[in-house]
Amino acid sequence: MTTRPTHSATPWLLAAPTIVLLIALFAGPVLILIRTSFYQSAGGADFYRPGTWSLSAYSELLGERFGRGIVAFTVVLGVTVAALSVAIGYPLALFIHSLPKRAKALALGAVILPKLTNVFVVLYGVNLLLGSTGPVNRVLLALGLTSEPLLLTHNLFGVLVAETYLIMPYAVLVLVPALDRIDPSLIAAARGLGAGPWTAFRRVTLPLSLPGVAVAGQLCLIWALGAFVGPLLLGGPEQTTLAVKVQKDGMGYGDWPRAATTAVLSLVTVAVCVALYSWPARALRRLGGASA
Amino acid sequence: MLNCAFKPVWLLGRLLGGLTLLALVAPFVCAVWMSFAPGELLEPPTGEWSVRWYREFFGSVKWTRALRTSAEVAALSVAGALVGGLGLAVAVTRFHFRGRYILSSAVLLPMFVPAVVLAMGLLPLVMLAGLQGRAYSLAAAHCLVSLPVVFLLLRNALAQADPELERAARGLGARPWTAFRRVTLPLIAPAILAGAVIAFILSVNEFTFAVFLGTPGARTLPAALWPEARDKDTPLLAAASCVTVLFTLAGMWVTAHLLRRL
Repeated sequence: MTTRPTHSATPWLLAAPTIVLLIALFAGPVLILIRTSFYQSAGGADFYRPGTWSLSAYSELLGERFGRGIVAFTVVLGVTVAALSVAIGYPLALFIHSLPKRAKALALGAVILPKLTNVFVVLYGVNLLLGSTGPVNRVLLALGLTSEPLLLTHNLFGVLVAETYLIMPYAVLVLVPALDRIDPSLIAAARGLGAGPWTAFRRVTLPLSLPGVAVAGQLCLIWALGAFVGPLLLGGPEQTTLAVKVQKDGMGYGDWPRAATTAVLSLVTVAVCVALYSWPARALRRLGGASA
Repeated sequence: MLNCAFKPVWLLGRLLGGLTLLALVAPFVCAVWMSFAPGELLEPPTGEWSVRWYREFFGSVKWTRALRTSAEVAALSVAGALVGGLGLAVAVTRFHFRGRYILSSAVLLPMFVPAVVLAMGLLPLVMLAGLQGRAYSLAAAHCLVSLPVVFLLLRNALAQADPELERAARGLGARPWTAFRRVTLPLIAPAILAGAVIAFILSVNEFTFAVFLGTPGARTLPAALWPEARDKDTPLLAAASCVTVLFTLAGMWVTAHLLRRL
């Protein structure tokens, strides 16, 4: 039963359901997706022209300004939402981390609450808050910052708010345990040696939490690059991300080669961004490790 | 501990933290409030409250059927994720075999791929197999999403459960399965419960796969709500969402109840 090398079939039998699922529903679809992206588009009732090989979907998508714009918008939105999520999530995590046990559980519950409901509640609520008669506009009007209600939804601002709402809880859920893992006696020691609270935070807590920040940033980036529901429901046509385009081409127009190409492009985008992210992530981890 | 110069900063931090939490909860509170609106408009009820939209939800076959589909898909996907996740977790923590590292990282891969990409890959597969709109094709897709989480939870729990205990039970004459069921299973029961709850929540609220793999006849609640959210903004959406929350809580309770017997 322990970890002795074994040649028995038992572990493989135990792992079999997962292996079957991964091959049939992960490896298979990704391969099918890649194959589909090389078909020729067919008009009318067919989803694609069987037996053809063509690069036309790729050249169409990357050749036109519109397609390249979608890639750029997806990346900019993803990076911004990830940065916002970590920037807002870190102080919130710090606050939750400082709470006594019971209040902490309650606060974490509040963070998870949007995840217990379907996305529509969140988006619907955001829609209401940002609407022309919503509280945000009322406050702005009452303060005299604007003379007319601002249009805050169905544009970039609405999408940013909605996606940050959807992704920020993940950052908090990663950051709170990362902060909890830091040995409190280190901070006490820093204070005992004469550091003020701010210095203790800057020199002890912050560096030690940076590896957690690196992880949170990566997860947020991956999920934000796949942004789908926010742009779909709270964005206008200008806020089309790759994911929204896949849905429109695949389900709306029934043009599978184009949808598959967009999906492959989205996969490549995520891979490139994660690869590039490993550079700042390593720097963050090194900062955390060097001061430990 | 706090010196005078730092106190305002500390208070400000508390205030900001509290406000951020409030902002996180606000859309949800809004939605609950809206769901009791008497009229068609997107305006929160001030004077009059009504359960009109709840009555409409439960009175229409379209919504109750979507709710039932959601329940079927969720139950199937929770069962699948538990069987798959537990099997793999036991295999990689209790056996030393070639390929266990590859397997433990391969199972995490679906987390790093946008849902739309997988859904678009699954669409031709599911359509060719004639399984579109079947509860189990969607449940299998949801399994794929919850497997990484369930696997990580169970692997950590199994790594903390001392294998020597199981060996002691074996030494006292228990067969492998009995030893696992009577010793290890109770030790990892909390992780199994947590995994089941997370898999349930993920499945009930999952939107992307539901849109791609559902058919007009068989849709989970989020997919059925989508046209409603896109075209009209009646408080029905809020009421349906509140029903989902209650449904999620009920599902969590049922899962906890079923798994308490472990």
